[in-house]
Amino acid sequence: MTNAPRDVFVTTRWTMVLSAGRKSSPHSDRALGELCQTYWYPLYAYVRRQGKAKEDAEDLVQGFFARFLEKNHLEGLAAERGKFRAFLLASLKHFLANEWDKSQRQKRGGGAEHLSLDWQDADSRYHLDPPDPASPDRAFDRGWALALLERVITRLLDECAADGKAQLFEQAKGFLMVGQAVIPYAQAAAGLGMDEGAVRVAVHRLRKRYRELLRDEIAQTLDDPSQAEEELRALQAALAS
Amino acid sequence: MLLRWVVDDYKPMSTTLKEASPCPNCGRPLPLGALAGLCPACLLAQGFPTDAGGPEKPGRFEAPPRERIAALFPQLEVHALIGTGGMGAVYKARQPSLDRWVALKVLPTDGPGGALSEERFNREARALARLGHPNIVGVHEFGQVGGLHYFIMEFVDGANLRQLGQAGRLSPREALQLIPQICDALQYAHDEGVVHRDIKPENVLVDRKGRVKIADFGLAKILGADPAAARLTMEGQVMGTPHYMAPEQVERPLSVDHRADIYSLGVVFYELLTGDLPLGKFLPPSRKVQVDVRLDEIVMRALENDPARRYQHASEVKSGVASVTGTPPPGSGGGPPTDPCAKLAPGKCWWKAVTPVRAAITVWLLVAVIIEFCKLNVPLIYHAKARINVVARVGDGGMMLPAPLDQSSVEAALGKVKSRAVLDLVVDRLNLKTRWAHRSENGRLSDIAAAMSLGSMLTARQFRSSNIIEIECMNESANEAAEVANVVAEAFIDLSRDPASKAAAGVELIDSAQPPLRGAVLYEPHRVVACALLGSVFSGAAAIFVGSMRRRAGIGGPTGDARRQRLAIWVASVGFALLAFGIAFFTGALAGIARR
Repeated sequence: MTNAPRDVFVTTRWTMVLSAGRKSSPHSDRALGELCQTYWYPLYAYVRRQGKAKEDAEDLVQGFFARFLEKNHLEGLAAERGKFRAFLLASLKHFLANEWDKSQRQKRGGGAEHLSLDWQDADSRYHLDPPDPASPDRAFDRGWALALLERVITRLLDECAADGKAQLFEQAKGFLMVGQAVIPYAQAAAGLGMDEGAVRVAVHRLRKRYRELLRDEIAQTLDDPSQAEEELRALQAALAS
Repeated sequence: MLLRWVVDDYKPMSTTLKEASPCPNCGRPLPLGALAGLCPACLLAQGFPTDAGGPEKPGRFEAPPRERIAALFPQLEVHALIGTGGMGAVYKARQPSLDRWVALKVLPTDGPGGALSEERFNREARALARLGHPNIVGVHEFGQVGGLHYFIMEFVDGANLRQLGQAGRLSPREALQLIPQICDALQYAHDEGVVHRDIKPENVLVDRKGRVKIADFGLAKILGADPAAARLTMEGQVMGTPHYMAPEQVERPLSVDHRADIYSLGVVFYELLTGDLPLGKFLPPSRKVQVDVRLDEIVMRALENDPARRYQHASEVKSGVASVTGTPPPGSGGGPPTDPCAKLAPGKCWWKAVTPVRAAITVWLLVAVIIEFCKLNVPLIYHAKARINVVARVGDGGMMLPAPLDQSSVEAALGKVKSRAVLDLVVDRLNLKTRWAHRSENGRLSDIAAAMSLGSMLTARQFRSSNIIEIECMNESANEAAEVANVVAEAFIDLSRDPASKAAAGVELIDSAQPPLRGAVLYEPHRVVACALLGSVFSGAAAIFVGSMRRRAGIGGPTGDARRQRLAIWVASVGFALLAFGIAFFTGALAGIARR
């Protein structure tokens, strides 16, 4: 493992943010920053689906993050505190209903710091997404699952690249999607110019590491890491629709 | 504080913006721009570790939602789904009537091994419920409800070996602490005629005290040992986790006996030591990681393909491990002991009794005692004070009232207390030249030397903004301090009344000095603070040392001691700091009051 091993009993990022409450610490700020950085696109897409124009949606998400990071939103909303996904969406809805007018009055950039998010990319991405007839909430969960997977795959790729196994990753990443029994090891071995046994071991490790990273990323968004299984099922259900 | 970050490295891998193509695996359209052509649904589906065995099983068990389980079990408060597998799902629940946590496992009545008759389930489950061993997860209750078989089991607060391994929390040393406990549990169950059949890291739980608890004993048999299951097995529908299965479990599932568990134990042992599975042609553990070479033989013998060549009993594995951990590795000249306990006294290790908190408190007390002891050897200084009124009081007869403050007279008097005339008179009256002669090197003391050494032990100050001055004498003898203070006061008064002196009459003794009962060490507050800091450092260090020794000895479990150690350091430093600053404050404050 290239990453430092994570303590099973240690607090997750979301727990750290929750327990910091109003008193932010460098640790909790970084944890919240990392979470928001991974999951901002689903929020943007959600706002667009609410019928907001590109500029409005940018302002809105920007304003929402500014408010959210000020910790004002960590009070209340007790029911959703266990899961970052649920909490972020509930906070956003609350913000849309109550806070939007207020922050609109401040107008763009009125003293508030702006996050440097790649809006152009987000917009083109939004147009490329297949039109989703599902409810905005479902679409949000779907987008969330995609953001999560992107982060996991990026981490996995980075780890492989750090080990000099980028080529192996390119060849073997498809095997992450299928059961072990149907993996054509011989074909892959020929493609990689490796011994079949070595490919078997490498693919086994890659799949194992993928699962570890997936669970880790899911657990990071939960107050109680033991609920990872439940969250994984929820995300799977969101994607299955 | 507002956070900023830059998402310049955020490129959603959207390099290919072609038409949406379907996933070759599940046929769903691939979302554009996502994940470099990977299908998210298929990716997530592979996120379940129990799927490692093979492709999606046709009759895969879907965990019922928590609400449904809660409705089926009104006697329990069902809290969360904590795990699912191909065979069933486990929920964390509370039994309010008995005020305890339980694990609720539900299984489909038509499992992958075919329909499961109620009678056979009950027969097997009764056998499991009879197993009572500290290293086996106990079965409280079982039965059928709403199309599900269920077990209500002991809840183990901890993690399984898979989670511990993923978190990198298991060293080979800790593995050697866990294996004997697994052996105990297996040997007990085998003696009771129960074979586990599915030993794997997911089924070996470790609670927060480091105790092993094996889950799902015999479940594999309940779910899959009838002939239909055997046929399915032949067709490649392998139940459980193939990497941990003995070869005969795959080839001849009907003739499996307890030695299959010993093979699985060998796989778990190998994985615990090396972090890898013994796949294909694998190296012995000591060639991969730094472990005792004698463990190779034990692991390799447990992993023999032929059951007859394996260990025949789990207890043999345990005694093999015990003989390795109990003696130093051959040719290492004593080397690093795998278990400090085993070296000190077998079975009885004093680390078990010494917790970090106890160590910190003991060292804390020890330092305190040493500090007090040091104080005994340092000569104590006694402060004796005599007070003189320097401005005549007003009134006559019985009622004499203090005169208004006359600061100039007081200052004049203060200047005179240590004048040469007073000192000489005192030296003369007390015959200090002879009394203190032994203090000088040649055994003789000149007038000047005697007067100077007298002057060095005297302090004169105004007493609380009044017309009274205070003459303080510091001396190593309480009686001499009082005597000198009084004689100085008398000499001062006599000289003041002398007609040659300009001072007014009315100078009189208010309080004569009494020999003080308590002496003090010089620089008391500084000393206490310094000692407190030393004490904190020492007791904190003791806590850390004991904590690390206990971890090396494998006592206290994977987590228990870290908390104790932090607590000990806190107790040590906070306790000492409070004491130190308390004492320093009070002595300082008292000294300040006395001086005024």
